[in-house]
Amino acid sequence: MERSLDHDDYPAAAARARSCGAFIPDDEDEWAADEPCSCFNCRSRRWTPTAATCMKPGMAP
Amino acid sequence: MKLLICIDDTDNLESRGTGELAELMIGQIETAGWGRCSAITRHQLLVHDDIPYTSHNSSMCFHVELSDPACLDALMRQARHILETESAEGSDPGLAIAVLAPSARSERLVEFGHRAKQEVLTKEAAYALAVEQNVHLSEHGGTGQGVIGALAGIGLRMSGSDGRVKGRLNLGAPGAVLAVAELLAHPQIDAVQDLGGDPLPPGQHILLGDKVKTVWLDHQAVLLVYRGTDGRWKTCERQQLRTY
Repeated sequence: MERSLDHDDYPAAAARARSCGAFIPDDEDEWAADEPCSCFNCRSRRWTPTAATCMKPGMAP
Repeated sequence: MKLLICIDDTDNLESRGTGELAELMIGQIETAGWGRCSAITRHQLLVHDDIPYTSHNSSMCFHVELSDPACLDALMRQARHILETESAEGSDPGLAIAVLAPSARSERLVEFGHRAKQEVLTKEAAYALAVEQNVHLSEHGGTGQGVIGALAGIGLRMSGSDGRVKGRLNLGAPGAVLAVAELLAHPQIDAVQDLGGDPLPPGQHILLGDKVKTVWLDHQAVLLVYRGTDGRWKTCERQQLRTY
């Protein structure tokens, strides 16, 4: 699994979150995607200038 | 007497967010009878490799209308206490409190806020400006780096046009249709505008989306709407509000 997603790749963020057993929704005010279950709405993502990176231990490639 | 309070960098990936801490602060201020608080605005700051933010680098700001100026010291003590006892392990909390003049707008603070969205700033610069502008600025753990975002949030809220309002509005089920006049009757909506900034007429009908939020524009909580491909006006979705 890729550790980072381009910050505009909403379909990939949703698809990845759906298949991830570690998705935990962040505070709703920090959600960035319309689809609730998305890496972009996960508590374990960290935004960088161009991407969202998964910070969950064990999720790195 | 009016205050602006802003906090930043109070969380880690496991803890509650900075917005929830701001809500806790508001609850204690109002319960103590020290004043009435406004909505909280979330201000997005620069995301950069040289900035040690947790996950998104935003600060949270709100107004307080003090019931008595004599409450100020107690309020400031409590705000500091909350940051010291409720901030998450590994965070770098910062607190900024500005006492506002009646027509308060400091161009220097606004400029600092805008710069914090575009460049890496230092604690030293933040403290120097806070002293110059007579803003209380304090750090409450870790590196205290949160003072930069806290002061920037004061400037951005003061600018009148930055950020999203924390929380979502309960206006009805998704798919419900309300007139603009009905939306404007809601206490947390000051204006209804399209994405170009034009206000919609009171009789225009708006289709509610899944999650309805306002943004902070021209010192107001503004509900942004767009015309869908079917010609109907709809409340903006989260992805459309992401840049605010």
